[in-house]
Amino acid sequence: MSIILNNKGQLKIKQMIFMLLAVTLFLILAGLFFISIKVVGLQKEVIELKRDKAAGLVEKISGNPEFVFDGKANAIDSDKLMILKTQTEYLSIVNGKRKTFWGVDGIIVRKIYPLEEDIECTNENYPDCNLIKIFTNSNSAPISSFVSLCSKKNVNGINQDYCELAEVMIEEESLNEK
Amino acid sequence: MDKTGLEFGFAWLFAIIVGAAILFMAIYAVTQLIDSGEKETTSKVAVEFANVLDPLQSVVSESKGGYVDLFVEARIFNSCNLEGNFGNSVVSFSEKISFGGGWTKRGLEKRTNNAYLFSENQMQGERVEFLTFPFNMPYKAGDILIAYTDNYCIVNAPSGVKNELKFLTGDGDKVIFVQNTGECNRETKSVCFSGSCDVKVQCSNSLCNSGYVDKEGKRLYFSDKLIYAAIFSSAENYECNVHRLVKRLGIVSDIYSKKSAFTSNRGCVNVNIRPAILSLKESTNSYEELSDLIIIESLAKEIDDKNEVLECQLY
Repeated sequence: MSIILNNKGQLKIKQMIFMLLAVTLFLILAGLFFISIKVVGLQKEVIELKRDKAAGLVEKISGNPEFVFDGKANAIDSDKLMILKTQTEYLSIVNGKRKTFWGVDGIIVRKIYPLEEDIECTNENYPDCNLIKIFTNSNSAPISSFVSLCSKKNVNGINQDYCELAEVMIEEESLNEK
Repeated sequence: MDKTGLEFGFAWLFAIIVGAAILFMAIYAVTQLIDSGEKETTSKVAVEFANVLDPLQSVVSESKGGYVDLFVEARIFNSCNLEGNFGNSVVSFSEKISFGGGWTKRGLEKRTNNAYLFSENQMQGERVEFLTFPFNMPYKAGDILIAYTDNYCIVNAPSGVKNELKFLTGDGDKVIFVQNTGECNRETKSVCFSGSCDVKVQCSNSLCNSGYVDKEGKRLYFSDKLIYAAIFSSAENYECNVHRLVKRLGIVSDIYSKKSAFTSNRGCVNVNIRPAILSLKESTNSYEELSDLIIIESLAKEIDDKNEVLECQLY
């Protein structure tokens, strides 16, 4: 009688252990599922916030001292951009990842009139070029805005401000290392 | 019979212990989840707030006023550091919980190196008022971004200061102008241009474009639009952000000195301004305290005078 009861008791305990294991496993799986959904949501939000930052920056980029062409509204200085290409102070390495001062991956400025084939500006061909790339090798980026691209020019011995229409494109910061 | 009772008791005891453990873990997990949810929200608000700072910058040399609505009462913590080449403004948030009236834990800090946020170390409210001024020394080196949530009572302000602030703050009642300290409300922060107050401003000329502000037991020297930053900001944030602006001025000066050589090669000769720009860059490198602003200001004036007479102006 005692052996039968003992066996019955052990069986009950085993049943309970299995049940508890199942419940715990279920809770863990449900937790993991919830966390994975949260992480995906969070990643989307981070991307969205980085895009918002880039969009906010592109609208006001001409106000930055490194870009501003003094005395003209919504105008950027192409001479300064050419110098900025080589200014290493604006680049840093944070946690092994390359960061720019503006928190974006790169800035591209393209003259849009007259429409010509892309010629990247270098110290050798400037100003006879139409594409200035800053901290990037890309030729275009999705977030853009239009500005006046201005420089000082000497025409027939007279110095004047010379402005052309240009598109500023911003490469938003990527989540993964480049 | 006794044995059956014992068996039943053990099973229950086992179930209760393990059940309690599971319940404890579940409650702990939910608490952590709520906690991290709150932290996520406040951190997101801090990032959104920092994102708003870029569009608040000035595009041309204009000053402007504005505000940002937070929609819930929040505490905004603002600090500043001099890390790296440019230093950072560091912002974090805590929100008021709708039931119970408590505050959420402070969210993650958001650093921004492109904004110079002058404010008290802690602000509280549903709306943050902003004032933006370009920092021209003599060319633009950044934007002075002033944020405040408190009410200010400004006593005996010179007409230039009064008109500018009135224009920028619009119809808002956060900043009022009076003739005597006695007209100020107790809840407001009083700023005196004469007499004794929480914040005392001493101008060195009638235009009040240089001088100092005494507050929190410190003397904050200012130049031009920095007067407003000194009034609305904590002494700690003011000193640090001015140092950051000076650091940026040094780097921007480097760009202008290279620009003068660059454009001179193409017929726009302004290379004779270069030594003065390099001196300005040197003086920014040796900047240590607010009183050094006077040296920077005089060098900036020298550059401005030279630029003024150039046939092909640098800026």
